[in-house]
Amino acid sequence: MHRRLVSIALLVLFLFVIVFAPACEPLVTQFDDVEAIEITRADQLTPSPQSADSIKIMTWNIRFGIGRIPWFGDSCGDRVIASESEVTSALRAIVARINDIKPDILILQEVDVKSKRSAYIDQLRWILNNTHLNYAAFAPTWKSQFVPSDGLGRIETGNATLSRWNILSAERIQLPLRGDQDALTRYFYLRYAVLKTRIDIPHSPNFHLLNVHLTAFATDDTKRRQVDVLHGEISRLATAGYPLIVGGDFNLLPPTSDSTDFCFEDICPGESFHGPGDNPRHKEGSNYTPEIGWMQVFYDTLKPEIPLERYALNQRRYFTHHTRPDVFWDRKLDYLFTNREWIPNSDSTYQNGISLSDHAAVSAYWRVAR
Amino acid sequence: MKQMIILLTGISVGVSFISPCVAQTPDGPRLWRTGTAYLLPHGAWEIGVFEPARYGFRDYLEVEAHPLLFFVIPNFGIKWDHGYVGDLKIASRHTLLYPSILLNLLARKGTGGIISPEFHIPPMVEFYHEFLASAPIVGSTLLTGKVGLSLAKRMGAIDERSTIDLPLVYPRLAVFYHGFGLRGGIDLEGNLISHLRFLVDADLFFIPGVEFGRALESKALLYWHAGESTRLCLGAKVTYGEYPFGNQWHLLLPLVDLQFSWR
Repeated sequence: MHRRLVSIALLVLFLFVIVFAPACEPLVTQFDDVEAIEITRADQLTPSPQSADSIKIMTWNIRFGIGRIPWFGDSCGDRVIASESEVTSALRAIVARINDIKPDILILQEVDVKSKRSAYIDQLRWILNNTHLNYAAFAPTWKSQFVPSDGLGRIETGNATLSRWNILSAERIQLPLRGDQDALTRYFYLRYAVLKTRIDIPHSPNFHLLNVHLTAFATDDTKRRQVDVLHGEISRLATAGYPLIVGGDFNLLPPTSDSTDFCFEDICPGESFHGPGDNPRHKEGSNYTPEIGWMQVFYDTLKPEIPLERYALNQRRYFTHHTRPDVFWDRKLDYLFTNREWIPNSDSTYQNGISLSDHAAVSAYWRVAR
Repeated sequence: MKQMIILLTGISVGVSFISPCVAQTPDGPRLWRTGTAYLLPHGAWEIGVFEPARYGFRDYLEVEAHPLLFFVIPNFGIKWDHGYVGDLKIASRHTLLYPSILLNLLARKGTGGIISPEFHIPPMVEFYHEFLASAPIVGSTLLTGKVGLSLAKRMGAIDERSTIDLPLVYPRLAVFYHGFGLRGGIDLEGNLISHLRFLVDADLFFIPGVEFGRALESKALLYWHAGESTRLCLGAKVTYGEYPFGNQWHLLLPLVDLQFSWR
């Protein structure tokens, strides 16, 4: 009888592990260097054009759909968890803006799909089902069942590319992790990535798009290393002769920017920078001076939606970011590049969207490479 | 240091929710009967690293409290012997829990912030009442059934966004947001070989009429009795629960505890 009980008990224990272990997520999801991504489609498809001479591309960091709530992590705020009504209200406004601009391809950063901070609303599904866009790919940049800091809790956020046309394939390309954090913090922290998609646009079967989000707060050379990985991928695609668009939130300034240190623009009450004995001397993520030349490689090898010469004439006109909603945009961090052609002067920087996100959307018409 | 204390306290609370090392010996010395209808004998003690301390106050009354956590999560319980109904040993367990101190400690900025500091947890207390019925089925193998009612009283409003959406924790704290909840469970435990015992159980948490109000937990444990007064347990727990983000399985392992008893 005992032998039988032993067998039953061990079998039960065995079944526990074998049956249920595969169903369980890790506490923090870590990623391979390159991973295939599944394509999502809208519940109802909207007919897409079968022919096009140009297509409208738009990039936007939507700040996880919380509008301008004074969030603790980026705006001297004290809020962490937005309410469902706050998020749905912000998402309605975001969707309205997207439907006004009507991009053919939309590349988004900071899209939450299952995060406590944004009421667990699947923002990708929300946007997909409330716009004319039909297909989407999503690459997580932060996926943790629980972040034990500041009450953040569960997080799943990332880059999303949405298109009127079918997305033929998608890959998540891991960017280097921050090198200036201790191991525990880094384990629970963001894992920035590039979302690479091949989209079935008319007349251009090998069209590729890279949706980029580089680190915002690294104080070492992490961003430089991320630029190297991104540029390597661009070079591979360009060498293969593929038409290519690269866009997103680079968290870097154009190399000819007049202002490069935003410590005082971003300073929070009680903080002190640049003074004798201030440690750190600069606010994390606000001093771009050491990295001011790091965008140059993209200007050298690709065509920007706004040439540097035009940017230099009126920088303020093209700013896309600020940390405080009560002041005007004060820096440009969001870009579109291609290895083919933009329709000249077709770019727009949507600076009238201050209440929607801490980033302004940018769009431009791309001449379809036949 | 303060962060470390809070972190360790949080871990201790989390692990103590698991209550991993419950085993019973109905035909042996009257010890290790935590999850059954059997009580500790008068004058006997049991304690585990993650388990509450238990004391046989009378032959018919056992008292329990978690000494390490008592100052941040005041708790106290009794188990009452109601004798036999046929072969069934019947007991009831009644516990009192005041989690607000700990939850407010966990509502903080920075590392260890399990709850957002924008939320305040009001004073609140849980009264849990449970009936247990145990019966030997084969040899020393003991089957225990449990059914319980949890009642919570809150002295102030609580924001529903302040939930801790983790297995083990969410189902146990849900009662504070809804006022009451039901629990039920079944345990099977017995001897495997000399010095080695097992436990397999399943517990259901249910808050009627509430979204995200159901959870199921099941664990399998092995106990190694190093002597009459010490035992080590090792095992795994599976949970399936409804959370604000959706339904999810979790596998929690290893569950480990070291327990002591004496008279």
